[in-house]
Amino acid sequence: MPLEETDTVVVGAGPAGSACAAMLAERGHAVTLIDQHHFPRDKACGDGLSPTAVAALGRLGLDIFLAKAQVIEGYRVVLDHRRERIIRYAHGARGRCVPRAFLDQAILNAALARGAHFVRGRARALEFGEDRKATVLTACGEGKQLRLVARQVVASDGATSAMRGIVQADVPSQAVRAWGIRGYYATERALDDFFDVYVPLEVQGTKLPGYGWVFPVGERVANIGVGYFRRRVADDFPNLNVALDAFVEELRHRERRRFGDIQSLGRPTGSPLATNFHAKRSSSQMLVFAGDAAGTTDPFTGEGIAPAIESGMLAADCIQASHLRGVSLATYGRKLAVRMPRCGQDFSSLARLATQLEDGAHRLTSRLWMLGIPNAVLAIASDPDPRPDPHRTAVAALLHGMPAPVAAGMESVERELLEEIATSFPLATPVIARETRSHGGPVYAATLICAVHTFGGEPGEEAALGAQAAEYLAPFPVLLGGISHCRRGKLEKLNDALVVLIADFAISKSIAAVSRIGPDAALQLAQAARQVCEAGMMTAADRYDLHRTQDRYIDSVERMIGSVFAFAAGLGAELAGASPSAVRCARRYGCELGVAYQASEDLIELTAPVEGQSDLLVSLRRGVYSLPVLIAAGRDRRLRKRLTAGVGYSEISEIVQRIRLTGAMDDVRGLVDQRVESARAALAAAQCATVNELTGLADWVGARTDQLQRGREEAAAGEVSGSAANGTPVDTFATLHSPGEDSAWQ
Amino acid sequence: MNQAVGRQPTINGSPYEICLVSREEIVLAANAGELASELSEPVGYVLATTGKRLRSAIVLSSAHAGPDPHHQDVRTGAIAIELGHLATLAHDDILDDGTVRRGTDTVGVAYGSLASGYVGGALVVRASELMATFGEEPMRVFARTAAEMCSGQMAEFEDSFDTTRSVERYYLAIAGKTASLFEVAAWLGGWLAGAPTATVNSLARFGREFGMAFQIADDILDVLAPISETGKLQAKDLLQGVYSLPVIYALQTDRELGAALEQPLTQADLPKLVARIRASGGVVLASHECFRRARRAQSIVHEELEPAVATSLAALVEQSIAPITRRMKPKHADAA
Repeated sequence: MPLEETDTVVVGAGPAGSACAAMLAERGHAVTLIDQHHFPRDKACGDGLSPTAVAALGRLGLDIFLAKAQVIEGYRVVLDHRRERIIRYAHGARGRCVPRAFLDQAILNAALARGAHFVRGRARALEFGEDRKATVLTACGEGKQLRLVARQVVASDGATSAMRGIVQADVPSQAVRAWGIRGYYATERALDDFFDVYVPLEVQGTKLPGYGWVFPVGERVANIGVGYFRRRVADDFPNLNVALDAFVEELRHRERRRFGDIQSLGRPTGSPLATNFHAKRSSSQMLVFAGDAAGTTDPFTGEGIAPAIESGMLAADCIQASHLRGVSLATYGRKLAVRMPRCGQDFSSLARLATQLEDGAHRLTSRLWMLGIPNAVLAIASDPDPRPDPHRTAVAALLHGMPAPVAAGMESVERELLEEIATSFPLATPVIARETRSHGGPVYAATLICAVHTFGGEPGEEAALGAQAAEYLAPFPVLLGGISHCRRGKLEKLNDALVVLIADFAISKSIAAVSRIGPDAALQLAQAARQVCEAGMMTAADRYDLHRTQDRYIDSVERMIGSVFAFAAGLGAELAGASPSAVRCARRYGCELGVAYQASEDLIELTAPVEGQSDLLVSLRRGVYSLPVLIAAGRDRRLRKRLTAGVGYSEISEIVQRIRLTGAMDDVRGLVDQRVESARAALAAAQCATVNELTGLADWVGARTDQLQRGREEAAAGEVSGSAANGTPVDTFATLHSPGEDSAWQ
Repeated sequence: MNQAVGRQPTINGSPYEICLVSREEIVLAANAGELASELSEPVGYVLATTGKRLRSAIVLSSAHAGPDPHHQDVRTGAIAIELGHLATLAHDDILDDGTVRRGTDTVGVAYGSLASGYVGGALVVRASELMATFGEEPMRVFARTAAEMCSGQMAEFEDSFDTTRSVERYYLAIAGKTASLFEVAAWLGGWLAGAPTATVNSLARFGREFGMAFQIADDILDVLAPISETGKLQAKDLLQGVYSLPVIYALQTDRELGAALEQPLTQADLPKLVARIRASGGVVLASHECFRRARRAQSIVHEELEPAVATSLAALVEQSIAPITRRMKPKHADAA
């Protein structure tokens, strides 16, 4: 039998395998790719490439190939054929939609062009030799066989991986949780540049946990399909073809205005969704699984290509590291799990819950956090990577000017925090990671780390735990603020249940982290957390009160935000061994800075670009008025009337304009400056070095609104030329058949 | 609700004179008076609905396994555990959409769901604060328990409307949401009273088994007892998609029940479903499991602790499962 020796054998030439082979070949490895198919070959798939996938393919030099493909601007979720919501990819990113027959060929070509060797055949057996070599026995047709000997094997042979069957025959195969089926269809009308998602998915009177999709692959050609979870493990799936036919029929009937006639272009094909990722079973000493063979399909969205490519590239990185530095391939699974925390999680419970909400789909447009598949798709699909969030970026920039250990301390806090969330509460990962990071969490953590440095300490494990505890407090009031106030339908109840579960998770994590430092730290945290609860209730009590006084506002901010800053600064000082009086100064610094920070947040909210103002709108609708709003309402009687009457989406710009005209924002900016000054003074009283990390933090908080001032001036200058482009809000709710109706926001 | 002050209830069947913690003591330890009025009012409302105070009774009883059962910390510890429990009740009302608890409106109805959220937060934080005053070990044990309770709730939530929920998944959920607090209650009493490590460990194991038995009994009562007895709608859990042990057993024997549960349900469907669950033998099987756990809890204390303490703790178990015993064992009353 012919024998071929190589560095790495990659079994399966789909996106994961070819991407891995391409990366390895580029780095000079000898790579042999095996696949039983002649390329190009068809593959059942939605064909959708998210911006993440597009970026990854760019690294393989496929930009030019993709430039010819159908452009995708974002998602459009259509509810019950009556309402729709468009989520554009942020920051001008674009997705693409390419039939797999072409895409897979292109990635394979990229691998071959870099020197990978292709063998058509079927891997039949895998042996690991004593000599740290693996042998893949391959049948090449017509009775010909080939022995491929390599140092590593990458198994990327799809959802029904034969390699997994060979290597892990003893592991019971998990029941497939989800399936998808798709066909290509010609539409009479030209398609829009969106991934269309249709919910709810209903077949023969039964709602299925999943969604239907229409993804454009050309001007009048669409990939139309349905994907859904099994309702119960014991259930038979409703027949896939029946489900797809029903969906297409529904589109013909209810979406005629959008598509015109819809003609099938061939027989649809279905496949299981490989969502059964398991870190430990993804790699061993000489073998890694990638793509569907590793079960990397996103169980939330059903997206498979981007994670497959990413896992293939990570496999290449790990193989490279094992060649260069002898790092075991066994670490691959864990690395992949950290990089893609949703992989392998069972989200069918959310999907199941979503189908229980018979009234849910119509009211999806209320701004609730995560509600089963529809909203999860909205929140996650539009946000494959956590948005470059202003705090992360700002804190990173802030730390840039600081000594390296400060930044390193922050890095480790962030890493551990995310890993912790991802491993212990996967269901909440998307929500809690986002809420923690976008609501001051990193700033709390930075305060603690900076305080340790300022008072002459080195942040160790205890500082990292304290920073985590502080950061976990950030989402608590934000989440509880999302509890429904009045009407409690099924949807609101589900929302509230999730909110409470996640908030409890956050607070219990906070307590757990701080209790590892010691009883004294735990008492301090409890003190801060209690004040946060008080402030939450005070804010709630003052809702819709336009006569809320500035003192009352500051009192609640001192409790809600100042207390956590004070906790962080005080604990940091204490961990650095500062004297009791210095610790007291640090706490006072924290309290002052907290107020300055929140006031600057209020200002930023008012100057945010249009898509950021949906947060402002929600606050105004909920009657939660920030300081500038209160001051402005005190000066402008008509504004007060407008706010009392209820604010619509279209009015938001005008209201912001009115607030600006009252000069309220200058007052608040004055408050920021004053509090930053007091914070500096508190530090001076502690007799720290004149230049220190906490002063740096205070300067940063003070400067946030300066930048804002500049930004506004620039915006004013560019307004004339840019107004046309800014005319369409990025995140719009639109009512399909009754235009102008504003109830989508209620 | 309005018991005369001064006549403190004690534990029936216990050889000790154990005064349960009073509402006044709880309010005082919760520091409710110190809180901002917006929070102190709903907190006070929740504290006023304190019920049987079973978990604090466990702390007080198990303290007799140590040399110093009347140490002031023991009472404070009992209150801390009670506060932890009240915190979960406030949040349970949101999770299971409760409107009535112990005959009165829930805090969510009286002050809004948001108040339930913050009251729960404030109480759990206060409980952790009290635990921290006892030192490193109680604090860490409590922090672990709080996390366990969360993950138990989460497991239950994840399983909701899953008619294939397994017995194991059910145990996983109740071990977290209920048994972990019973465990820490029993442990804490012994620890604070200065009991030796082996005794404290026995108490912890007792607490866990007791907690499991208690929750199973509670779930059986949900199916069996009319609203007049429990203060909540009979078999309400079914509407929430929470399938507890009797229902899981019933689903295993009655193959058609799953489909029936998956239909959109209303209150009117409940009596018929309850009848089916009973007919399938689900309630009987679940009661056996409840009794088995209760016996195990009692045998741990009888074998490993002083007779007087054991009697006291065993009596608590007996009282907790009495509603089930009454219903399920009328014909073999002598067998027990």
